Amino acid sequence: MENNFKKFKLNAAIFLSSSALIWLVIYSIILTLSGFRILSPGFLADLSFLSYGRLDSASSFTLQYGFLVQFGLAVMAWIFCLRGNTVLVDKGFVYIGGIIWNLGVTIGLIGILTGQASGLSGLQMPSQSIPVLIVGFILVSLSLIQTNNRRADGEMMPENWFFLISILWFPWILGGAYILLYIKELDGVLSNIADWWFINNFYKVYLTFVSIGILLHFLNTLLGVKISRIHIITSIWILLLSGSIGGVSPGSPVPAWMPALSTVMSVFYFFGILILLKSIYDSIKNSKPLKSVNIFTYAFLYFSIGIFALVSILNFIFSFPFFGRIAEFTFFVPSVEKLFLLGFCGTSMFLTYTYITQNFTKLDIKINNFKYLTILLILGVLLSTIPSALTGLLSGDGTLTSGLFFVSIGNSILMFGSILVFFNLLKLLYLSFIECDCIYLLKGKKGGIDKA
Amino acid sequence: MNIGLSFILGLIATLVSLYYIEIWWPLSLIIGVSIWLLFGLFQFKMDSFFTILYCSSLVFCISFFGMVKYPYDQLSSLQFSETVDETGLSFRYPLQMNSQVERGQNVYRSVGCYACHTQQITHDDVKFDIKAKTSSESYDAVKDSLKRFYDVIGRKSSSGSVLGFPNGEWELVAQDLTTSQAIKGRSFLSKAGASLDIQVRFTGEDLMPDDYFNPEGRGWGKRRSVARDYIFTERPMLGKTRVGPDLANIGSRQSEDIMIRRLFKRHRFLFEEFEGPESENTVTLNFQEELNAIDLTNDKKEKTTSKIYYKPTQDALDLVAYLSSLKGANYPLDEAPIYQPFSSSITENAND
Repeated sequence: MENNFKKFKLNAAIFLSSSALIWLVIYSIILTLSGFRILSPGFLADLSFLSYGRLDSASSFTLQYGFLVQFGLAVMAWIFCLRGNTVLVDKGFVYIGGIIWNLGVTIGLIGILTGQASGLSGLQMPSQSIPVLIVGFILVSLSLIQTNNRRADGEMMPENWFFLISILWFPWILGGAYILLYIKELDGVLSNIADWWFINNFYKVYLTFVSIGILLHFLNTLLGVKISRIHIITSIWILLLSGSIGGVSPGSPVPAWMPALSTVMSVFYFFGILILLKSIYDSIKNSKPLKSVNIFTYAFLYFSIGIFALVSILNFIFSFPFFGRIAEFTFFVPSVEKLFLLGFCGTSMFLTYTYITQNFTKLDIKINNFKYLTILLILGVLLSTIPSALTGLLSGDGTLTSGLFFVSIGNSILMFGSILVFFNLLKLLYLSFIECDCIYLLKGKKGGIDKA
Repeated sequence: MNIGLSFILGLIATLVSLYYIEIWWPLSLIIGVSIWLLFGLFQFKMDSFFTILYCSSLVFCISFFGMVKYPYDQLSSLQFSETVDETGLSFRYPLQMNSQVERGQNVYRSVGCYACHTQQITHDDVKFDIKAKTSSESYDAVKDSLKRFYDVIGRKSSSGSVLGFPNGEWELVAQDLTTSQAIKGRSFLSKAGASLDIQVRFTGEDLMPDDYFNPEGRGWGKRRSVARDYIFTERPMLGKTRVGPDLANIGSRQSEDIMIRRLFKRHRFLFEEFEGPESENTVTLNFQEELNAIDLTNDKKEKTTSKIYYKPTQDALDLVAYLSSLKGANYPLDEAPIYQPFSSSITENAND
């Protein structure tokens, strides 16, 4: 690809993002299958690897580790280079780390589908895949930290703060949870506590920080918005401290102080988000969008911010025991979780993809492609989450809700959207391959000279 | 970082060092002050990677010690407890799993049953009712303490329960008390010399139904689940969504035969076709009716004209053994009692 990618030597980031998009397609296929399986239990009931339990774990694992973490790493690499005006340092680490990471995800997925899942709600993957994932992540993050440290501009941007914290945080929490569960071999509810601790940190710190970093970058790039640094510093530490503590639901069989502390921390966390959202709102109130950027990029930007605000409000309300007990064990909880993962984190990744492919490549991509892609992804995200959240809340736990029918339609739409993104990527890679004269290079001739 | 924010950071560092890591207090104070000075007066900036590394690692320690280490210290010493079953027989709870149950647990994990079922019973609320009885000697003192108790919990001390408190008979003196109110009530009345009889009631959809105080109950357990229920379970599969019922107490509610039939409908891969004849030691099932209800390929539909036998695989039998062993949330524990009626209401004849 052109410009930025050649200038910053970001081919390794393209490798990460391409493999992340492959995982997105795999995720959406598994998600669609699991949607059908829950509606008609007799369908494919003869195949053990297609049982709903396995598909459900496999789909969330693929989304989290295959797509979100990996694409997030690619975006961080790009933004570090762009903001620091430097090349991607030690890109070999990114390639090797990326390969190892993908190996870890593959081992995890195969393990879950063949019945080796851990049985925990957060760390579903088999124990063997976790060290592989940690090594892969550390290798990639070494390159990213080096890139940030060798930035040409002295001042670090706020998005870099978010990225750096998340890069440090992920191996700590994953390594910590692995040691607790598989080396110290905690049993009883202590293993669940370690699992909740991990997943709470993974969602509220790692994924949230990466996505906020991406949004801050685009708010600055697309709208010229500069958010007050003191507001960001205040919110970043409130979010980190309160987001890293909690995650225990009201009825859990643990000492009563744990759910109570989780509620208190959710309130603080919400304050951190309010500070951030208020600063964003104040900053973008009088800003004007860049005319050179297409409407789809803005659609993803505003959609992502909107979902972030919505999910934060819902999490705040339902962290209180009175409301929490109403939602507990219903489809509301996993649906809001999915809305967070796809609608906030996933959309911020789609935003990056749309922006980069349209603005940093001089390739002829039909605008209709992006129109359908945007509509399918946004519609898919909304339909696959909102109906089950609403009906789950209304019909309570212990039963299938009517909203699951709409969810399976939403899952299918999301699958078509993901496949379209993937074909879009293939087309881009093909066109860039042609443009860079790679075919001639492969033949051992110099492009442009021998072409004639 | 401004001076106020750095002070808060220093304060947090001191508290964490003192209470969580349990460092000697002067050293904790030095840690806190040095952090305040570093970030407040010497203006460590966010632009430094090391500032981010340092602060993040501090927060990580707080998170780890608060949410993992502290609960570990609290729960790691949990042991089994003495309890009684339905017949009044005393035994140690929870029971350790035998090898078949353990294999069944692995099948449960492998199939992913926890995606649709939870293994944790919750309750919404617990209420206490107090009956009191007094002798002539302590009558005035008990009546006075009852009046004071009503004042403390914000109820009318001029109510009939107080004014009409009888001498020498059991009388219901307070209803629908919270835990803290019940503790106060017990303290007030017993100190005054009254005999007490306390009824403990639980409300919650998961618990046993009762026409009077828990009409919405689904009967999934007699009490809420607590940490002790899982001490012999490696990585308990508590689950977070209920598509079907909770299974914490399924062994007390369902027979093995029903379990096998339900498994067949959703997890046919746990069964294998079986060409008779039925032998004495083989569990053989004929699912003619169920098969007609479940979508089948044309090939199999033809076969249903004759007779198809399915027998559960060893995995299915292990899974059923595991499910049958799930009888938690059934027996009372100190930290989780079950419904306890007034003992004074039970007449001697009824005891017979």
